[in-house]
Amino acid sequence: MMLRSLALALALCLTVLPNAQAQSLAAKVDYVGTSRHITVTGLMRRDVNGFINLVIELTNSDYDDQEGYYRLTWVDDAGFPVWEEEAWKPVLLHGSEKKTVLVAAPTNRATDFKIVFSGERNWADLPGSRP
Amino acid sequence: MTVSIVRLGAVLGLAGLLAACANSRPTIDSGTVSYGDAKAVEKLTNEFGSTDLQTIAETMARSLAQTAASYPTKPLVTIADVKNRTSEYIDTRSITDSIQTQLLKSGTMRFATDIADMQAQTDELARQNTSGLYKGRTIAKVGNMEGAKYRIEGAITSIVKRNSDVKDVWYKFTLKMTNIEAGTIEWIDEKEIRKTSLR
Repeated sequence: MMLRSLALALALCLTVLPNAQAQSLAAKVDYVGTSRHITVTGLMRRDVNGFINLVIELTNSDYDDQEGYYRLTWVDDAGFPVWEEEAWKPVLLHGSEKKTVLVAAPTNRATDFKIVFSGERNWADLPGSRP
Repeated sequence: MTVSIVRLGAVLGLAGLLAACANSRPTIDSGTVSYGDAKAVEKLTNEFGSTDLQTIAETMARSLAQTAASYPTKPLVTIADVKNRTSEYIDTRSITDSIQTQLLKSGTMRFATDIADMQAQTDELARQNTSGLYKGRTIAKVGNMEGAKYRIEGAITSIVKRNSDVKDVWYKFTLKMTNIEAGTIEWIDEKEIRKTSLR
């Protein structure tokens, strides 16, 4: 009984973006340019002690290793930024790899977020468009 | 009359030329210096760089802040300089400062004066209490400093491998928080970074 309650509580804590996943995902990701090989293909959220925790799934559609860069923006209920601009983080995906990146919010004042992603190789790359 | 018109035309032309050449930007510019993105990924060499520092500080501070948020009251902690166990020079005070800044901004912890700042703290206390320069009621009293309940300390290590073509550096950063009275480790986390370059 206790185990069942615990499992139920955990399930409630874990908010997976369900049916409208593609639409929700698109609303949560801003691509800098059009990433040629790596894309954000999944997103899970749960809150731990009031801090947003995210599991971001990245997929490399190429057979070779590919690199990308990401960072997040954190906002409150009013959409006001609650943290300074984050540093860009590099991420390497091997050929055809799916990788999950774990991210935590910097403060419990953050109630929403946006992922900003840039591939090392973008379609119609502009010079100097990578972070 | 014709001469006057020519003069007027010349003056207007010169004024227009000067206006076109005027620099409306608030810069003193030699054309050789530019400001870059302080948050960009730096990949100039594979020595420890700004991206590594930012990534480590961010990961560690967020992991610890999340844990500290579960405590009933904001824990009072002190932080020691990160130990550098790599073979290269790294300004570890800068890593310590970044972690401390992010933890304070997260609003989950309070910091007691650490060892590095203790001399300045005691100097100021002594100056206020012994110089006779200050009004009595404004003087910070000796003996009221709060002792930290927890101590945060970290270390960075590296493994460097190279052959004729490739240099590979693997960094591992470890941060832990210890209960000072009990001597128990309350929280610990690690962050690994690999950087590879062609020689």
